[in-house]
Amino acid sequence: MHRFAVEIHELRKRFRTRVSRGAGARARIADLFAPRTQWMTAVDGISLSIEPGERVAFIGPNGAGKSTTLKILAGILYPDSGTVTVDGLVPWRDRRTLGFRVGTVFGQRSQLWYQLPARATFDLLAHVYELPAATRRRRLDAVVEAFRLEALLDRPVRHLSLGERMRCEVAASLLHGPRVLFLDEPTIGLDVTAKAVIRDLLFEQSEAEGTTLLLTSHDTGDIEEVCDRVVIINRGRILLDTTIAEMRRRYLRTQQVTIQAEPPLDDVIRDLYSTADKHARDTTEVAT
Amino acid sequence: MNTRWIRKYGAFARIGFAATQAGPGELAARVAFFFLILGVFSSLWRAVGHSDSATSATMVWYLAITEWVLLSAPMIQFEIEAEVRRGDVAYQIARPVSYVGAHVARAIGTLAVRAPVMLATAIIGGRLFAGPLPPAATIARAVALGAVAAVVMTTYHVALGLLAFWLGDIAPVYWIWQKLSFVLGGLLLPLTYYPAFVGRVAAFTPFPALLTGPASFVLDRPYATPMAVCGMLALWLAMVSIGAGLVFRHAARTLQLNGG
Repeated sequence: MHRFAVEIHELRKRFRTRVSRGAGARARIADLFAPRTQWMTAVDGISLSIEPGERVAFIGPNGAGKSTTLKILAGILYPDSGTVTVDGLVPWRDRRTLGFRVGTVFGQRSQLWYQLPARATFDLLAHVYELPAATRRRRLDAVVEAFRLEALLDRPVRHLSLGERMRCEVAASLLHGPRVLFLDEPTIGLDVTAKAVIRDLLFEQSEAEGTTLLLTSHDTGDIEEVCDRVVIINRGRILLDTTIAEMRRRYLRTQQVTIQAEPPLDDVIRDLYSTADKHARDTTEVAT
Repeated sequence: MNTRWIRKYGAFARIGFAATQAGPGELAARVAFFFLILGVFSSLWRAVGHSDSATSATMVWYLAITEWVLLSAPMIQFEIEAEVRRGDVAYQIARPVSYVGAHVARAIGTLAVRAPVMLATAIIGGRLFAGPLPPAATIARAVALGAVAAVVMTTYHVALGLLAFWLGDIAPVYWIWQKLSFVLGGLLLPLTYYPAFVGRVAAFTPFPALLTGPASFVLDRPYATPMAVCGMLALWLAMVSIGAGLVFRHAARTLQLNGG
C-alpha cells in the first residue's frame, strides 16, 4: 500500500468557454462565424495529500473547482499541469488500472440502467471489474446487506425513489471494493432521512473496509457526520485544510438558528396574548 | 482476446439485449413503420412497372432487405449524445473498460433483439406485398451479409455518437449521414439504377457495402459477389474501428465536464 492514497502537487486546469458579443443580430452572426473564447481557471495550483482510510470533505462555493479536481483524480479529465497519484497511479495515464481501485459517485448523474432492475447493473459492473464468481456473490451479498437493498434489487430503477436510487448508486460504486471512493455531492436532492442513511452507510463502509473517501458537498451534515478532515477551496485554490474538530473549535464558535413558522410567529404570539388576556378577563369575571 | 474480455463485453451485450426487451413499444413502432414502408413502395413499384433486372416483386424484396438492415441498427449515437450532454459519460470513462467497445457491445445486444424481429417483419411483409420468397440460397446470402452489415452500421453509429464530445448535438451530422446512405447506399433503388457517376462516388464510401451490397442478391444482377461484399464490409469495419478509437482518444483528452 502506498503512503498516500491521494497525492496532488500544483495541479492546474483551465477550460475554454465561449463568450457572447451581445444580444443583437450582428453580434449573434459574428458569434456564429468567429466565436470569441476565454480561458476560465478551474483549478489553480492545488497541493494536497490524503492518507489511506482518511475521510476528507472538499468544500467550496459553486465553480470553486471541487468537481473538476475530483474528475481529474478519477482519471476522467486531463490536467494542464501538476502531478497527481491515486493509490500510486497517475489517473489520466493509468486510467484502466486505476478503474479497478477507485469508485466514483456523482450525485447528479446515474450509472444505473433506468428501465432495468439495479441487479442488472450490479451484474454488469461485476463483469466490468472482472470479479470472479465467488467474489462477486460475496461482494453483492455484502453491499446488499450493508445498504439494505434486498427489497429494491429486483425493482426497475425507474420505480425507485431518489433516496433508494442513491443507495443503489453508492452500493454499485462499492461493489468492486475500491480503495478510494470519490463522491461528488452524493446527497444532493435527498430528504433529511435519506441523507442520514447515506451518510451512515458511507461512514460504516469506510470504517469497515478502510476505504479512503473524498467527498464534495454543500451540506454541512455530510461533512460533519462522514468526514474527519475538511479542505475548503475557492477559485481553484485551497483556503483551509484542517480537521473537522479544529475547524469547529476555531471558526464555528457561534451558531445562528433561523426558525420559520407557519403561521408566522408574530400571529401565534398575538393569538397567545389574546387567549391569555381573555382567560384573565374570564377569571376576573368569575371571581367578582 | 481472452475469456475475461469476452465476459466483460458480453455483459454489455446482455444488458443492451435486456434493456431492448424491457421496452417493446419502440420495437412495435418499428415493425408498424416497416410494414407501412413495404406497403407504400409495393404499390409504387407496381405502378411504375419493372426493368430488365428486376420486377416489382424483386424490388419489394430488395427494399425489405435494405430496410431490415437500416431499421435493425440501433441509434446508439443519440444515447452517446445524451450521455455526453447529461455528464453520465463521467461514470463510463472512469471504468476499466473501452468506452467505444462497451457501446458497440451494448448496441449489438440491442441488435440481437431487433434484427430477428425485423427480419420476420421483412419476410412476412415481403410475402404479403411481393408474393413468393426468392430462392432460399439468395435469401440466405442476403440475410447473412445483411446481419454483418447491420453490425458494421452500428459501429458507424457509435463513431457518429463520439462527435457529440465536440458538437454536443449530432442530429445535423446524422441527417447528412442518413441522406447519404439513402442515395449512395441505394436504400430504395439499387445503386446500379443511378447514373454511373453516383456509383463511382459511392464506391469510395461505406454505404454500398451496408445496404445495396447485401440486398442486391435478390436481384438478377447483384452489386458484387458475396466474397466482394464480405471484403468491403471487413474493410469498412476496420476503418471505422480504427477511426472511432482515434476519435475517442482525442475526445477524452479534450473532454469538458463542467458543473457538478
